[in-house]
Amino acid sequence: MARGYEIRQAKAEKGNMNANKPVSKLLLLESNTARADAIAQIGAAHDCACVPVRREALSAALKAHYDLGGVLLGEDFGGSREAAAAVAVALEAERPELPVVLRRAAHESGGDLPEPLRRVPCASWLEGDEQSLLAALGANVFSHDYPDPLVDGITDMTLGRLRGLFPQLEVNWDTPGIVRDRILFGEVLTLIPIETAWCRGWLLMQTEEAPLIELLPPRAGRDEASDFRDVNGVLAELTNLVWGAFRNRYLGNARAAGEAGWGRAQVQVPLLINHRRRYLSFGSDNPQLCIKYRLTCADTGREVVIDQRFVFSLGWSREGFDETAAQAAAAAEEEEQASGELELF
Amino acid sequence: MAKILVVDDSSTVRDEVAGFLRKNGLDVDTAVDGKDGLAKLRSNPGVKLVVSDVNMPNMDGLTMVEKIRSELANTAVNVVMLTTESSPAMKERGKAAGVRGWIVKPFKGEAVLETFRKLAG
Repeated sequence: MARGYEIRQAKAEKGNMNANKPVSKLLLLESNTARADAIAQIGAAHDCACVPVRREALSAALKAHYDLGGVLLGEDFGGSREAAAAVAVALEAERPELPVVLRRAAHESGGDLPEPLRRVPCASWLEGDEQSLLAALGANVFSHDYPDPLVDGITDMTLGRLRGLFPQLEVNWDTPGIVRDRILFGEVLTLIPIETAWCRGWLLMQTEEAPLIELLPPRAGRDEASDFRDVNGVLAELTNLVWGAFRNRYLGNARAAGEAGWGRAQVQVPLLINHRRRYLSFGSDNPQLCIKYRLTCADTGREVVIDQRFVFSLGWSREGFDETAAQAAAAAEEEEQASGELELF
Repeated sequence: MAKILVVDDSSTVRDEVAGFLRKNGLDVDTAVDGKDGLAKLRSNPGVKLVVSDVNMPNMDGLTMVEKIRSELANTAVNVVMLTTESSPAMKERGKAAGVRGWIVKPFKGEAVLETFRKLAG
């Protein structure tokens, strides 16, 4: 299984130095190992990390891999079309938000498929026809809502804030991913609305409590160790810093907002968080940009992961972003130089 | 009686800023939002410098400054905003309310310590 950072390293070695281009993790359901390897290689060359899973391990894999972009299902997975159909029903029940792309055997141009295999998959591709697989992935798994300059900007500003808040820790990040899950990763999460001239949505930051408590330094002026209140405070402040930096860099121009009909739009969509079921919904099935940051203590090796998501579920204008991006690069440098300095009036 | 009041809804920021200033020998109190800040100033008019966030619940920082000048009739206390906001419009509102300085987060204590000492008298 290729992990995000391994793909990032491999791409860097090949000369593609944009390590922030999002990948997508896909469950790969194929009974034939050679076929699975071939599909995984195609996936790896096109920003997909395929995770092969045996039939008997499927339920556990769906629970363990909360950050999936989709499923590649072979039409004879499990030994027959009927077995694959049962898997399609299980996927629909357990992870209805995941796009399922069905592999059809090359020699079968027609033929009746069991009803679940006609209903559940959102697309199919023909074995041997790589272009049909790439077309299905492009249409159903990847989103063009998160262009590379935006991802670069987000990781750049977030890393700066993380390193400022945690100067004693090493901070790295996994290759960003496009996910469609609605599963809570952490125990503590913050949510803040994002609104600029070209996008409206949410910023989510989530983490696990105990690993972060272990890595927090003692609070100034206090003898006792950090507790969950400190985790709440730190995560909230990190969210605030990233949110502020994002708005300052990418606010965009008011005319774009007016043309998009947003202006000072007050529409909000309620968030549903069921912590007992580890479920979160933004009220739509828009794909989310997912980036994980790893904070490590070099001395002890202890690590905590902070999972960051952006979803523009309330509005998005690619043209608006492109217009803003050129100004944002200049603003980024100014912002870094100006932050922390006192401007006297 | 504290000479400096740090106002921020984030406990992380309050601890960082107040902790740094105290470590450098300054007398500091804290408040959790604009409403709390106003109440603390009302009961301690000897504060010489307020360091405040803008985006806070109950009462934002700029509204707090406007009320310090109007309701408390306190035009002497120096106010420096410490915030993620950097828009010119926000700074103009601050200037009009009598804000003395503006820092875009993150806080870098060493860069501002001497100025803070002077503003705190």
